[in-house]
Order: sequence, then structure tokens, then C-alpha cells
Amino acid sequence: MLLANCAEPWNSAMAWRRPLAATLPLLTALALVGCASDGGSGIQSQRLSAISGRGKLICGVDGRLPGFSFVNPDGSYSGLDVDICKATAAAVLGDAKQVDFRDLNSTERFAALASGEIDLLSRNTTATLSRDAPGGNALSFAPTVFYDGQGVMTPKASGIKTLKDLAGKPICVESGTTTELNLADRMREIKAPYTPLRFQTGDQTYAAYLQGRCVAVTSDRSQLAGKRTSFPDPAAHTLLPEVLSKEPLSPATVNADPAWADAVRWIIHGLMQAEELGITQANVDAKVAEAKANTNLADLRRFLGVEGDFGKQLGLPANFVVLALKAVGNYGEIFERNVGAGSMLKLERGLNRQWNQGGLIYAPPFR
Amino acid sequence: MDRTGLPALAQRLRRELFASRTDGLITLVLLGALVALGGGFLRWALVQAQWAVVQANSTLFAVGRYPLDQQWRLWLLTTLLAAATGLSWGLLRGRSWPRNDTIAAVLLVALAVAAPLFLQLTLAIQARWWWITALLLALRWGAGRWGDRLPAAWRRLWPLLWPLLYLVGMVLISGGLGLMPVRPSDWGGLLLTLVQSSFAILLCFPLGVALALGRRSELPLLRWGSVIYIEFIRGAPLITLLFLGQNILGFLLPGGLAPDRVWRAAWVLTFFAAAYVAEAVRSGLAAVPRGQMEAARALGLPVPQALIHVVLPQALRVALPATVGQFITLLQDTTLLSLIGLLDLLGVARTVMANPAFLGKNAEVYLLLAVLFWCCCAALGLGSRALETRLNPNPLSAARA
Amino acid sequence: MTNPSSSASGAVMIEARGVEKWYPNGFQALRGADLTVRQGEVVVIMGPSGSGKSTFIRTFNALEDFQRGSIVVDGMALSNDVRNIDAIRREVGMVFQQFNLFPHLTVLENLTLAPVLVRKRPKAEVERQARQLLERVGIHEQAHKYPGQLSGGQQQRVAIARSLCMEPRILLFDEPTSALDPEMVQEVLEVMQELATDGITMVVVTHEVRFARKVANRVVLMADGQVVEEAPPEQFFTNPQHERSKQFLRQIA
Repeated sequence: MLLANCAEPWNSAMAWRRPLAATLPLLTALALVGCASDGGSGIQSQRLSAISGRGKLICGVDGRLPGFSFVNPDGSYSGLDVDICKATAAAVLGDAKQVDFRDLNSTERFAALASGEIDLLSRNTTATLSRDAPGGNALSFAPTVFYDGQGVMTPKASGIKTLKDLAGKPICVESGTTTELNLADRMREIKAPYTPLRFQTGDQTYAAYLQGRCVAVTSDRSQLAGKRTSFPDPAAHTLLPEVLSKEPLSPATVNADPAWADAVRWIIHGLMQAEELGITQANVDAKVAEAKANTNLADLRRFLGVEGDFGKQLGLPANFVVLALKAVGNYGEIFERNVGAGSMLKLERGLNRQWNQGGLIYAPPFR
Repeated sequence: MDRTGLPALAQRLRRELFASRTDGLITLVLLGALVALGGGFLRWALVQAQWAVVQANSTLFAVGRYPLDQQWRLWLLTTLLAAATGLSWGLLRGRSWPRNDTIAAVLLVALAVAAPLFLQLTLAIQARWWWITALLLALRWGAGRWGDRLPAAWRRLWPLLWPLLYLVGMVLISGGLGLMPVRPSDWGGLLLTLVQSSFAILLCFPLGVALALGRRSELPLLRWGSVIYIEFIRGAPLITLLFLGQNILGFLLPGGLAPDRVWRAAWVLTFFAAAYVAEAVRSGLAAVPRGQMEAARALGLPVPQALIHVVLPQALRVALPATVGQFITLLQDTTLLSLIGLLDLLGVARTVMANPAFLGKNAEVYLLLAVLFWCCCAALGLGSRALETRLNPNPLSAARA
Repeated sequence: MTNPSSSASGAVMIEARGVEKWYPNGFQALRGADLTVRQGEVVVIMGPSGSGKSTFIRTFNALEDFQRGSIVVDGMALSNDVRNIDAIRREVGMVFQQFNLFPHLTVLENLTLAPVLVRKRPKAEVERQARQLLERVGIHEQAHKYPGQLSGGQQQRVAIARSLCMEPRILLFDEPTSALDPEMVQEVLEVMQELATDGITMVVVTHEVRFARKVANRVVLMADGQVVEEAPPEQFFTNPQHERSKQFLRQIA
């Protein structure tokens, strides 16, 4: 029974929703237990089969977040979150264009995932325990694609270089937010008393900052950078090096389909590993040719799918990394294009550098 | 000073604006404020504002992510709508061109020339707007001039053109019948706003009437069902219901039946507005004297016929202004769809403002939205006033005396 | 004009026996009211306000329900069966105190609505008949006006014509002249008188003594939800038997 169930492809997103929702995770789990005896070959993920069946990846994004996801004048989507969707579609289906984007707000994003409406949530979601745990939102987080964190912006002219320099100065904060609390905690820690100027909305906060009523404003670093581009003179403002909170933004899938979660995880690792190996959108074809020609490059051959069965183990094409790289480039390229030096946001790599450059981006070995 | 020597206009100005010292002062202060504000606004709109954000994204604002190669269907629909408008307008007015009609025609021509030019559309697309406007006005003229030569049966049936056009429009927009399907998730901008609100307006009306009648029914189950429904819906904010619809329907309904996110929202809007329309209609029903129903029943009319031919025509006429007010609210409420991730006008606006290339252009975008919504609501208001005068050929109130 | 010859021998059109009615608030409006109306008769019901006379005639075409007793109209017993009620209403016309014309329809449309919808008669034929009836009540020139444009007396005459257009076997009048300005009462009474001479069965609740004397076959006095006296008009007005009748006549004199 169960084995028969595994073999049957779930050929549409609709099929995923057909059983009663409450029993769905249980059914899926049972089915997967049944499939475990199937060995290491073949597709084990119902979600993966569903995506292949419909020929489209349904990806949940924010849709209104500078640098992460937005719609271009021609109707296409762009952004860092969007590129993760495209890379996944390319790796699974061989075509980065086969993505249906769903704009989701923060309250409905988990329900959309749990009900099976979307395959992948790539929407600035901070990985936390309660979102990960089976007793919580029961998500399965992919590797963090952007280490965000609360930052502080000051005018360059103010001469302020570190948080300590802010002692005794007015700082603009949005009242009633966690950013306000984080700032208070950190300033108490470093014994730098300051004058908080509280405002009801973000717009008021930035307006007061621009009027010079305070010498610093605090929010998530990616947001500060986004806001800065709309200032009259963006270059006159700088982000302090300190990070006041941990916001590891990670794509997510559901716990109930670990095989699909693995596939997404290793696609993203592939993007990161490619940067470490110096493989880019531009040179990937040359690298493949090189790997094919030289049997000594065993690691590279396996990574690019020239030999070995990494792809098969994940239920993906053998060259899934190559497909993803051709579509959107490696992690570094994605970062620079959307939020880094190549973008209007001009964010520093910071924590998002490779591990061997002093950052946190670290792909486990492709072995 | 010889006041009679002043020209009439100056006299009138003096009388209305500077009748006393205080009046004069108030006039001057208000005039000053007006000039300061208006001048500031004009300077911003003409000099400082960077309209590139609107120009570059005009397609996005109009139709969202509707596939480029299928947009000819929307052009066709716009043309059909313009033709139907011109035809109806002409048949209503006949040969006469009242001053309002002339003003409307001049405004339309000005809009057709100025708007595409402002949006820097290509000449080919500008020309399309000229043709569509020309067609509208030509049909207005033609139908006005020769409309009375049409057979009487045709002239009676022309209002049916609109529901028919609505169905044709929905097919053109969504595809099917040989056209490539375009999924609702790709509709956006003004198109999505109009589809959502027109769908909800058309359906919430009969639903609201049924609920209002249910609330006055003598059957306890029907009455209490209606009361609970109306009070529940009116007690909940629309945004809560929209979230409820988006989140719960996906779980509750078996796969094939759970409608697309766009249609889920449309149904929620419909059910929401129906409760308010029901209250408007209920007040209309309450305004119809009990004797009307009794007289109809005494003549042997069964209840349904008595309602349709006697009570409802009077009740709906009373409820019309409140109902149209509800429709206008509904149109504005569609902006809440952007909060559930749909690319309606506001949704498009927010995603456009998130594009790093146009960051900080909020004022321009919101002004555009305000103008677009104002146009839609004004059109609804004008339409309802026209309908009111048409439905009111007789002095109703005198009959009650 | 003299009273039409008494037709006590005619077929029974309305037979009400021991009718009792309570309103939902517990008030008992009818306490065993009896009445027999024969074909061609004109019965005038009088009585002090609150005596239940309006309620009583409204039970005849089921505009009011009743809890005890029985009513048979034109051979059909009144029951809760809706089809039965609709059938009875087709045969019983009613003229209201407040006219209750349909203000959104023209005078002509007021007349033709029910015959076309209920009797399914061809529209042209009904319109011809309606125009004749309007002529008969003296307002054929106003056929295309709306009720709001007519005087009260004219409206009530339209209302009578509207009832007649259904060709009813019985006409009920519920205080038809009470809402009219005094100078308009006469024109309505004249129309009613004319109808009476045509032999239509009529039950009229009114305070118009002169009308009752001239037109009625019988006068019925109601008090406290009961019929207390029933007599030919001359006898009723000159020599009432019951104490309540004497009291009532003293009050309206």
C-alpha cells in the first residue's frame, strides 16, 4: 500500500492538499517510512514529484522588499530571495524561468507553506527555534542566505565610529519594537547612556534623523541600507560595524518532507561552495570542460556532476549545481548583484563573507 | 466712490468676498493659504517630482504581471468597453448634447492625448488610445443621431449588453474557449482592482437583498441565520476575514475546490459587502409602509411576486444611495488585498517602491493611486446619480402624505 | 335612492362563526365574532375604535390570522394552506383606509399589475378593462399619472378600481373615507354607492351613518371583539336594541 503510494507521482499542487490537512503530516510521514526501504535511489519526495509533475516551482516571497524581492517594470521578479527561488527551479527543473512567485505577508507565510500552497518559502524569514520545532511552526530551514542583524546608521560627518561614541547623544528609534529593546540592552552593557527619541512609525523615525534631531537611527542593517538609498545624499551616511541582534534569514520548507528539504539545502550549499571554488556564472562552462578533461580533479568532477551520483541521491539532476550556477551565478554574485556593491543598497558583505574570509558562509563538504 | 460703476463681476466679488472687514480678512488669509499650498504642490508636481517611476511602470500599474503577449486581449476588451459606453451614452441622450456631455467629451479627448504623452508611451500605443477615444465619441454621436431608428425591441434590450460584455470580459481576461489561460495570480494593478471590485459589487447585491429579506422573514431559522451572518460579518474587520479566507480555505476545502488566492479574496469581499448591503436594503425595506405588502397580498399576489413587483422596487430606490456608498467603500477596500500579497493597485505600488531603481519615490506613486481611485469612485458616484434620477420619474414622497 | 331589496335568500358568501383572535402580545382582539354575509348584500360594520371591526374584516381575506372559530369565504374554509389563501384573496378585494396604491407605478399599472400577474390575462385586454373602470370611477384622464400626483379622493377611487379590476366576488372596505379630507369623502361614497347598486357583495367598516342608512342591507355593531347587534339600518339607527348600540349612536351623533 505505502510503497504504491510512493510510486504514484503527486502531479499537482492541488493533489497535495486533497487529504484532510490535519492528518497530512502523519500520512506523509507514514508514506516516507514506507519508502525508506526503497534504498538510496529514485525520488523519495512527494513535493519534488509534485514540482516535476507540474513543471513549476511555487515560491513564496515578500514581493515588496528592496534588494530581496520586488517586481520589475516588465513584470519579472528580482532580488536575493528571488534568485534563491530561481536557482532552485533551475536545479530541479532545468529552467530558472519556471517559478510561480506568490507574494506573502508575514502572517500568512507559514500557513501557505503548511497547507502546501507553496513549495519553498524564500521570504526574509529569521530561523528560530520555535519556527523550526515540530511543536512550533514545524519548518525545515535551509542554510542562511543572509545574516542580517540590527545595525546603527550615523552621518559620516558626525565622526562617530563605534557604539561607544554615541554616549550621551540622542538616538532615533521606533517605539515598541524589539529594536528599541535591543539598543537599550546593548547600551546598558557598554555603559553608554543615551537619549532615546521615540517615534510611532518608521517614516517618522527616518524623517527625524534626516532633520538632525538625532545623530543615529537603528533598525535591521538591510533595511537601513535600503532607506539610505532614498536619502538626498546616501554617501553621507554610514553603518556602524556593531551588530546588535542575530537575524539569520533562511529559506524554509516543511518538516514533513525531509527529502525535499535536503534538496533545497544542498542546492544552496552548492551556490556557496561554488563561490569558495571560484566557479562563477561566466566560467562555469569552462570549469565543466576542465573537469571533464582532467580525471584527477575528483572533487570538482563530483561537485559539477561529471562523475558520482550526488544529484541522484537528492533526487535531482546530476549537474544540478551547474544548472543553478548558470541561472543566477554563485552566492557571492547573487549577493553583490542584489544587495552588495553592484546594487543600490551597497551593503558590505560583513558576516556574509565566506568562512575563510572571516564570514559565516560555510558549505559542508560535497562528499 | 460710485459703486454702481463697478463691473458686475467686481461687484459680485465685493459682495461675496469682501462684504465686511472680517470677511475681507478671512478671504485674504484663505487666498494666501491656497496660493501657498497650491503653488507648493504645483512646484513639486512639475519640477521636483520624478515621474519616471510612473512612466517606467505604467504597464505594471495598469495590468500587473499580465503576460505581454496576451495583452492584446485587454486592448480588445478596452475597445469593446469604450464602444459599449459610447453606444449606451448615445442611446440615453439622443441627439441632444447637454453642456455636461460636451464637457465630458472635451475631457476625454484631453485625457486621451495628455495621459499617454505624459506616460511617454510609444507612438503606436498612444495612437491606440486616440482610436479608442475616437470610437467612443463616434458611437456616442452615431447612436445619438440614429439610435431612434433601431427597432424598439433592440432599444429595450441594449442594457443587456453590459452583463453580456462582463462575461465576454471575464473570458478575455482569464482565457479559455480557445484562448490561452492567464492565471489570476498574474492579474494585477488597476485590472485586478477592477475585476475584484466589479465581481464583488455584482454578486454582493443579490446576496445582500436576500439577506435583508431573510432578516425580515417570519421563518425563525432564516431570520436568525441572516441576523447572525450579518452581525458576525459587520463585527469583524475586513482584513481579519481576508486573512481567514486566505489561511483557512487552503486547509478546509479539498484541493480542486479551494479557489485561487485571487478568487478567495474576491469571495471574501463579496460576502463582506453583502452584509453591509443587506443593512442598507433593510433600511429601504423598513421605509416601505406595511400597507404596500398588504395591498399586494390582498390583490392575490404571492409573496415572491409582491416582493419583486411592489416592495423591492420601492425599497431599493430608497436604499440606492447607501448601497452605492457601500460599493465605493468596497472599491477602496480592495487596497487591503495588497496586505494579503495580491498585486492590486496598492500591491503594485508597494512592489514598485521596493525596486531599488525607484526607492524613495513614494509621493509620486501614492499621488497616482489617489488620482486613479478618485476617478473610479467618481465614475461610480456619477453612475448612481444617473440611475437615481432614472428610477425616480415620480414624486414618491407625495404618495405617502 | 332606497335600499336595494334585501337578498337574504342569496348564497352565503362569508360565514364567520365564533372567531377569536389574540395578538402576540396577549391582547384578545376578537372574542367570538359571528357574521353571515350573503351574495349581493351590503353589510356595514360600525363600532367604537378598538372594537375589533377592522381586525374582523381583515380575517376574511387572511390579512389577519385567528386562533379559534371558523371562517368560510365563497365556499372555501380559511386555513393555513397558502394556496387556499391565495385562491380566496383572488376572489376578495380590499380597499384600505390609507389607499395603499403602489407609488412607483402609474395609475394604469396599479390596476393591471395583479390581473396580469395573478390571473395571467393578456395585458392589452386588462388595460382596456382598466380604462373602463377608471372611467367608471371618474378618473380616466389620470391613467398615466403617478399616485403621488392625485388627491386623496382620487387615490381612493383608483384603489377601488384596482380592486374591481381583479373581478372579485366580494369587496371589503376598511374605513375607506377616514383618511380623506371632508370635501373628498362624498366622491368616494358615491362610487361605493354605485357599486352597491350593481349588486357586488360588500362589507364596509365605516362611521358614515348616511352611507349606512342609504346603502346597507344590514348594519352590524361590534364592541369588545363581538357582534352585539345586527339589524336593518332603519331599525338600527332609530330603535337600537342593545345598550352598547345606544351608547355608540349617542357618541357619534
